[in-house]
Amino acid sequence: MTMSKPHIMLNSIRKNFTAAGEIIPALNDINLSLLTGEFVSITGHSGSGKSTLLSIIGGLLMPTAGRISVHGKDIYDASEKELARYRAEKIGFVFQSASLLSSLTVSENMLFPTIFASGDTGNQEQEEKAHAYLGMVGLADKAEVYPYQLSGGEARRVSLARALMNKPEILLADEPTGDLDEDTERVVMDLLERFHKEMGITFLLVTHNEELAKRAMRRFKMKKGTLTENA
Amino acid sequence: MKLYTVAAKNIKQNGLRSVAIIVAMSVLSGILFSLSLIYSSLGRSVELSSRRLGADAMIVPAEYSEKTEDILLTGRPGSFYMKDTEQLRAQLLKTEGVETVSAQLFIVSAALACCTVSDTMLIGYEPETDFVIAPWILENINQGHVAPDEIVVGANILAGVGGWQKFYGQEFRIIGKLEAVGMPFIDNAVFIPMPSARRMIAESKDKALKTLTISPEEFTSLLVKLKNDMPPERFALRVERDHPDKKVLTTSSILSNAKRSLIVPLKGMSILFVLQWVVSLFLVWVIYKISIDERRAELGVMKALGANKADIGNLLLLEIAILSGSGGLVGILCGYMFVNAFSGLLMLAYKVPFLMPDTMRLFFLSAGVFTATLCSGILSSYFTATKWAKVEPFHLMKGGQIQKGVFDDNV
Repeated sequence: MTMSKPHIMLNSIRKNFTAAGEIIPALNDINLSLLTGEFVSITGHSGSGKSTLLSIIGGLLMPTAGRISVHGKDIYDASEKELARYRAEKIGFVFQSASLLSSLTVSENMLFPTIFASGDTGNQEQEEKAHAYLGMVGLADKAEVYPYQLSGGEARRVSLARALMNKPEILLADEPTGDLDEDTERVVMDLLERFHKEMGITFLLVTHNEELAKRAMRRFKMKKGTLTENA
Repeated sequence: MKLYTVAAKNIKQNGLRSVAIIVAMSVLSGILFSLSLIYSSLGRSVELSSRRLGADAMIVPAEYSEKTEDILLTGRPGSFYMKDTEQLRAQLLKTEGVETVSAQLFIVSAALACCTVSDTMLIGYEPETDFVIAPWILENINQGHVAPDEIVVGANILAGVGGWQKFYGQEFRIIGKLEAVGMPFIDNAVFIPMPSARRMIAESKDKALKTLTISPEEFTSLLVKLKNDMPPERFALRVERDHPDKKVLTTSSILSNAKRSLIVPLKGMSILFVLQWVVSLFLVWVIYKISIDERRAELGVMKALGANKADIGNLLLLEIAILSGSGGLVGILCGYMFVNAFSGLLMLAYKVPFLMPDTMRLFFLSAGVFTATLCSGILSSYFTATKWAKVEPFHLMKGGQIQKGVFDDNV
């Protein structure tokens, strides 16, 4: 695992929303640097801006101001297509909710991100990879079932396995264990840590759970849109 | 996996929405196809019927003019006769603008053992002067001479060329079958050379259970072919002035009047159809909009996983294209079955000739209606699809949580 070079750099990131003509600041002057292969956690109360920050890093939301660069390149300087390709190939998301596509089976959900990454999808190799990842999260036997047939923990594990399909450099997890029981929470977190270590992925975890956050190499706290590093 | 797999699965999952859109689009395409088919069939059959009737004018006894129109337009077999035909023919041949005159004789086949088929119009024509059937035989059968027992039949007569038919005890061999024109008077008729028709009448007393009592000087009508510079209407006025007991029917006006009688209600239906089109598209737009609104979070996930706005737009438009296309096909099929089933009623109710278009025309008509339905469906959903395709994934994923009016402030 290498952690020498800065992988992600956030400089003076600001994000405002407007509602009924009123400006609502969500992020204030965020500066953050993540090294390649680093595991960083951000904690904070609901509405503190941590999910907004994660979305900005993941290319899901353009900041109002500031610069975010990955390997030295500002991701929001890219075209819409390039930004989508960045999300497909560089980022693996594990969302707050399971976020599986309800009309697709588990194996089809696994293959979905490959449509946008390789351009050559659905081949034998991809299917084998999907099966292997499902095996790693202990759900190989659920490949042909639909999301509504899964428990919350199973759906979350599928979501995690899907995040790895395009071999991402960065894993962004937003409350990946929210609404799960303690045992399932531990299973999911163990899997996340395992993938981070085995694959050398830069891992950013957003959670309100302090115990989970303690597993990270560095911990940050978000309060009212301001980020501070814990000692 | 390809995007169209995802589109197909989404369609399958949203069964009720999909069925609602398919039904709306099939009603739309069904009505458009039916109306187009009726317009097209009407135009074609009127053109073919005019050509097959051949004569510019048809002279009949004045008291039978309405009956003649009924026979021509509905194909209901009927007969009547006039005695002074030869004298009238001689006068007509001397009339300015007349090129040829030929007599016809209408006989209805009997529902008895003497006739192969009953209630069929047997039309006696004069091979020497006829300018409709005789030239057709010459052109299509490559035979200048027709034997006394040889006949030509309309397209709806079941027996084929080479088959035999018996009328009033006389056996006739079919030597030709006319192509369908959509006019029952022609399509259901049997054309017999006049000498054979006369012999059939003369021998009916001995050979058939029913005796035909038509005297040799009696004919049903005189068909007149006019020179190019003689307008049929002028000729008709002149003949009717000189012979008040006769009526001159100009075939073009009979057919165009019949066509007009159907065109008027069709125009009314077309206006209703335009309204229905607008309502259907509005309905599809509402259904699709609600459906996409419900799927915002899912679209956000797709974008987060790497879909760009073109992918999302294509996915949504592909879904509506599949639904519209399916609705279009169902509608075309239903429209065809409807028109096919009710064309007979239409012919009777409006007294119009009606012939389904040929395969090629039917194909182009179907393709046109299919394309129109497809484009309408896509157009009705285009703005909804492209609108959501442009939204950032974050906002899509927050879907239900973000209140209306909350937008980015990208200063």
